[in-house]
Order: sequence, then C-alpha cells, then structure tokens
Amino acid sequence: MGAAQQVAQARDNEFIAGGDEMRNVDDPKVRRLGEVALFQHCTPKELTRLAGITDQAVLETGQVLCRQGEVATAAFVIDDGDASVKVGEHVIGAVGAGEIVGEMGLLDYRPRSATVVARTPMKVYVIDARRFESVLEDTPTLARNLLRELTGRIRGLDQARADEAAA
Amino acid sequence: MGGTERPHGFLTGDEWRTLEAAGRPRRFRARQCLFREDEPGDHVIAVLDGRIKVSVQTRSGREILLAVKEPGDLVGELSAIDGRPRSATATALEPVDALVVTAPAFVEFIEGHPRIAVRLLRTLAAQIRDADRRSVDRDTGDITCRVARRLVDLAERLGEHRGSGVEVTLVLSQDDLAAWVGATREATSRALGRLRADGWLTTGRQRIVLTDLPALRRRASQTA
Repeated sequence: MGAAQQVAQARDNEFIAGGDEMRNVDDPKVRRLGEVALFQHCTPKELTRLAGITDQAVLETGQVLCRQGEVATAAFVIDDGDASVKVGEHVIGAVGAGEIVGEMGLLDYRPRSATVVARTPMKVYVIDARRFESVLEDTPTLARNLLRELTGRIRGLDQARADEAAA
Repeated sequence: MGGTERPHGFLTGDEWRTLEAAGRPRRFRARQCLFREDEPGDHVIAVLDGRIKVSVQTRSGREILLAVKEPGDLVGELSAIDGRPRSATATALEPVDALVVTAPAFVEFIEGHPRIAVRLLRTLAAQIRDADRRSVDRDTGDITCRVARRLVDLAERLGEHRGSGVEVTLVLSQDDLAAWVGATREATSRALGRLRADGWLTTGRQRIVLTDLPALRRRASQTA
C-alpha cells in the first residue's frame, strides 16, 4: 500500500470508527450533536469543534424557535423537550431530543419553510450560521462529511421521484 | 479554451483557473450522453457552455427529468463526493463545452478550498429544497397549471429572450417537459395545445417559445 493509500485508509478508519468513539465522549453537548443526522458522518474532533461555537438556550412552552418566512441565521439542536412544526396554521409534524431544527438555514440562509413552536419547556443548542460557516472553512473534513450526508439525501429524493412516477 | 470568459455561478475566476489546471477540456455533441445512471462515477463535469439534462428512468423505462444544468454548474459531483455509482443520466441538450475533472482531483480541490466546499454544500442544500418544493408542486393544480408553472420556472432560469422582450425560447423537447412535469407525453402535449390555443406560446422541434410570459405566470398560479 502506497503512502497516499495509507492516508486514505487511515481516514476511512477514522470515519468508520466515529460511532464507537462517540461512547467515550463525555461532553453531553458533543454527544447530542453526534446524534443529529446532518452530523452523523462527523468525527468526535469535528463535533467538539462544533460544540465550541454552540450556545445553550432555554424556551418556555409556546415560545417560537423560528418563524416561517424569516431568513434563517441559526439552527437548533434539541436537547430536551419537544416542538410542533407548522406550515401556515397547519401542524405538519413534531420534533424532539436529538433532532435539529432549521439545518438548511446553516447552509443557505434562505427563508424558513416552517414555524417551530415549543410544545413543552425546551433546552436547545443554538448553532449560529456565520460561526458555523467559519468552522466549515477551517475544518475541511467537516465540510466533506456534511457533503456526504447531503449527497445521500439527494440520492434518496431522486430515487423517490423515480419511484413516485412509476407508481 | 484559453482566453474565453468563464461562467459565473459555482466558482470565481481564480477558482476556475485552479480547477482548469486539475482537469481537461472536453466538448460534447448535442444529445450526447455524458454518463449513465448506475455506472461507476469517476469524474465531475464543470459546464462552461451549453446545457445538460439530468434524468432517471423508472422501472417501466419512462424518463424523469431531474434538472437542467447550465454554464457554471457541476454535473456528477455526487459520485465524486460519496464514491457511489451515478444516481442519474446526464445528456447534452445542445453542444456543450466542459471541464472534466477526476474524482480524486475534485475532492482534493474542494478540501484545499474550504470556501468552495461551503458553496458546494449550499448548492446541494438548494437541490434538496428544490426537490422538496417540486414534490409539493406536483400535488397541486391540473396538468395545464403544472405545465405553465414549469415553463415559467424554466424561462426564469434558462430562457433566452427573443424579439419583443416577452418571448422566451427554451431548448427542450415535449418529452423532456413531460418528464419534468411528471405527466404523460400525451397529457403534456394536450396542455401545451391549450396554452398554444390561448396564444401564449408556440412550439417547434426541441423548442418552445413563450410569447406571453405574464399570462403564463397567471395560469401557473391558478391551482383550482
């Protein structure tokens, strides 16, 4: 095996080991971030870097986490409690611990597609979009792991599109 | 390709030059297949000139149009990023000038340019939003409304203005349009016929000229 291949192999090992190493992480914030689907391919090191720019916030029942149509500037990882997701006046779903709200806003600063309201008292981790971008810029492997996650989703959507047309 | 101006969009001028150093120029003929669904994907194509359609086939062999890529866009980046086979087929809609970059060179390029990685994340996020929005669009409105909506959408993104300023030419066949609308060719053809009878468009081989974009916009928003 050449040197370049060894480096690639080591990187893949690190990548695969991500899940197991997570058990040894004692920072609850890092552990929580690791549960989020968007960050599932990230290493503990990358998650620790992310945790460093993440603030905690507490919400009361009925408080609004984000509002449909507003430009996104942050995402929220739910640590405790749950929230309703509404489009217009219709509740279209609910989110709870270990889930992320407004993740696409971290990447593209587009208007929120839904309103999210606390259904119980909540604890959330707030990831500011600008700080997130600066972490992405100084952590190339994080960007690559997020790219992997997004390509997986696009493949799923494309496949769903073909299946739906076939039905 | 030396002195030609590079398209805006995904990369800045300096970044294009870096990518050019890592890739090689290539020209594709109109209707030429760039790569096929399920093939291993070992390169990325950066579009310099011309447009490319990206489509998948259903099990029954029907073609579903997923996207039309324009100058400045990338094609085939998913496989380069995740190493999995091609998720779709890419076909040149017209003569295409492109830059072909191997997957390892592309990964090295984005890892060496974190700002590009961030921009790439943004374009993928936009594709996800777009796919979500389209699935909502498909569930509302009759076929004529959906055809009108799709035409307006295409005109805004890739139309070429002709004549009086309201004429927009789309280099797209009725099959492509049907695939995009998610309807049969016959139903799409009937919808185009109705819009043509209203005097809002004319159709030709591989092209549709929108002669009254404001009227089409109104029709596109009538979902009932």
